[in-house]
This record gives sequence, C-alpha cells and structure tokens, in this order.
Amino acid sequence: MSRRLLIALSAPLCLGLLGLAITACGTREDAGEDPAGAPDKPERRVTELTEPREALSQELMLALALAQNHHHKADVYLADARVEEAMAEVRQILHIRFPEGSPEGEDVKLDARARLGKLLVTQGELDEAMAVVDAGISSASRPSFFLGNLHTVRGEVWEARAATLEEEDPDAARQARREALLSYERAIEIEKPLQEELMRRRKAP
Amino acid sequence: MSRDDEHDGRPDQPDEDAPVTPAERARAEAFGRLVDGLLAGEPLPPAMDSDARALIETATVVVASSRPMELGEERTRRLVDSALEAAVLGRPRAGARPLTPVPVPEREEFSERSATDLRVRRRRRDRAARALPWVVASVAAVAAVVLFIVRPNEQPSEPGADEAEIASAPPAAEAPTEPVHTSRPADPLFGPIPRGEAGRARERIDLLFADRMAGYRDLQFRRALPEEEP
Repeated sequence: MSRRLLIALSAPLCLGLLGLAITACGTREDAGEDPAGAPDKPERRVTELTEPREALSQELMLALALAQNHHHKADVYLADARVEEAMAEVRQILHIRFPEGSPEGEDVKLDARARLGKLLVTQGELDEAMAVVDAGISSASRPSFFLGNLHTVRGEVWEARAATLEEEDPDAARQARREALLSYERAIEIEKPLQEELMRRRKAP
Repeated sequence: MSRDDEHDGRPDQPDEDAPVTPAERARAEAFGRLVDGLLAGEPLPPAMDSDARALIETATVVVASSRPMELGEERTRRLVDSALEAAVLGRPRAGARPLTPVPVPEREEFSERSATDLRVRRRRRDRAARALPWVVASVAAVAAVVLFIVRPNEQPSEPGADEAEIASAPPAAEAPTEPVHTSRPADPLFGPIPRGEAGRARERIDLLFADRMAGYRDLQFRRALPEEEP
C-alpha cells in the first residue's frame, strides 16, 4: 500500500518537474540568451532567421503578388465592362499589409490610388476620386514618381470637374482649371529632381 | 473413538459379534445420510445428541480426508483470488478469512505450471505494465532536469570535432550586400510616369514583381549555398 502511494505521489511530481524543465529550456532558448549578457537585445524566436529589415522578404513578395492579382482581376472586369467590380478589386490593394516601412508597399498603394482615381473619373464620381487621390498624397512619406503620378491624376480630376462646371458656372470651371495646373506643376516639382537624380546615377560608373 | 472403545466404556452396548438388527441398520443409514448431507453442505439438525454430533463430525473428517473434495466453481474462484491478493499485494482480501500459508513449490515444480501460477505471473506482468509509464516519466523528468542544468550545447566543443557538420551547415543570414537584394523604392525601375500611362498600374506592378522576385530568388540561393573559402 505504501509503495503504491509513493508511486502515486511521486509520478505527478516527476511529470511536473519535466514540464517545468522543458518550459525553462524553451524560455531560455526563445529569449535568445546571450552568453555575454548583451542587454537590450530584442527577443527572437529560434525558428526565425536574422532577417535584415531592408532585405527582400517572403512577406513582401506575397504582398506584391497579392496586389498583382488584384490588378489582373480588375483588368478582367474592365474587359467585361464591369467597372464597379474592377474598382472594388483595386480598392482591395489599399488594404494589403506590406512589411512595415517597405518602400514598395507605399509605391504600390499610391499607384493603386492613381488607377482607382482614374476609374472613378470615368464613372463621373469626381468627389470620391479627389478623396482617394488626396488621401494618397497626404499618406506619402517621400517624393517619388508615384507621388508625382498621383498629382497628375489629381490634375485630371480637376480638369474633369472643370468640364462639368463649364456651362453652368464658368468661374468655378476656371478655378478648377487653375487647380489642375497647380497639381500638374506640383507633379513636375516632384518628378524633376527625381529624374535628375536618376540620370545622374545612370551616368555614374 | 472406535467401536471397541465404546464397547469397552459402555457395557450396555450390544455385543460386537451379535448380528445386526434392523434398528441398528436403520440408525446406520440415517447416520450415513447425515454425513452425506453434511459433506454436500447441508447444516446439521438443530437438535442432536452431543455424542452423535461428535460422531458425525469425526465421520465427516474421515470421509473428507479419504476422498477428493470437489469445490464449487464460485468458491474455487474466491479462494484463488484471496490467495493471489494475499500473495501479490501482501494483504488479505476484504471480508475473507485469513488463509493458511501455502507452501511455495520448489523450482523444479514449476515445470508443471498450475493455473494459479499462471495467474500470479500474469498479475505480476500487469503490475509491471502499470508501473512502466511512471518509471519512464520519472526517468524523463530526471533527464530533463540534468540536461537543463548541464546544457550540453553550451559546452565548448573539442578541437576538430564536428568540423564537417559546421562546414556543411547553411550560413547564417547576413545583411544583403547588393542593392538588388534589398527592399527599395520602385522609382528607378520606371522613371517618370507619362500622363497617358497614369492608370496603367497593372503593367507597372508586373514589372515590379518580376524585378523583386529575381532579387529575392538570388538572395535565397546565396543563403542556401555554403560560404566560399577566402
């Protein structure tokens, strides 16, 4: 009787010790414990490679592939004159999660906004087109050809608005055309130094 | 208590050489039925002469010792179970009467194994099988604690040991050394976007994806290859 009681008491204790040891080992490994005791080292899982932040990653490639597929679906819808569905596909690109801080993510979304803005203009939805374009412009973190392209689309939206106001309100139409010019000028301001820098790099050995 | 003793102690008893009377025969038959009934498990009559009761008990013992006793199946099973519990667990069965110790047969006698021996062995095997998981768990716990304390992977390796494995291991991910392996702005890939192509985002992302995929694959291949010797 006493032996059975001893086994019954010691077995759960041993199992508990086993779980504790495994947990402790896992915790020490997960924490990436540095023998030198380097402080402030970010915690990293064992299965993760040390991935430089600026390196091309699988996450980035997947996000790009997703955006590519949405654009292709939009093309198919447009070929079938289904503009609403095409615009819905392009809107999906705006919700794709790119790796934090990846320049490609920002560029792809700005380009998607440009396409969406032009589609909205063809549908006469000028206010929404302007909202989409303005949101992209305000979200940009750096000057780029995509940002310049978005200003170009903004100028087209103003041109379309001027065309609609031409007969009923010529002054408003004139003001809209001025806004369009400002947008195009802003696009040139953005693109010109970028193009010069690009040419300089291409000429450099 | 033989008939001679009775004859000697009691002079009023008939002579041994006298012929058997019908009364004696009837009495003997009744006595025989009582003994048979007692062997079959029937109780004794409530009212009996003390001499007759002693005589019946003696006759019962004599009959029982002179012929093999056949127990009922249920009683046999209970007796075997009680004996096994007493032998294996070291405690008598609840409600069972204490048993007299059974003499352990010699080693040579195991050649003829009885059913009881087989049951004892089977019980021992079952008991070992029940204890095996706990033993394994205990050993694993002790091993885990020892490994946790020792942590063999942190011990310095012996010189020359496992050099081949170290050489064949994939190199640790290092920072990409070429721009093509990095995440970077897509501007240089396209340059200025003409106004007429402002909405052609699909063509641009096709080109962007192809360019980044080429860099990504090259980076993966370089990481998979072993490091070159300087």
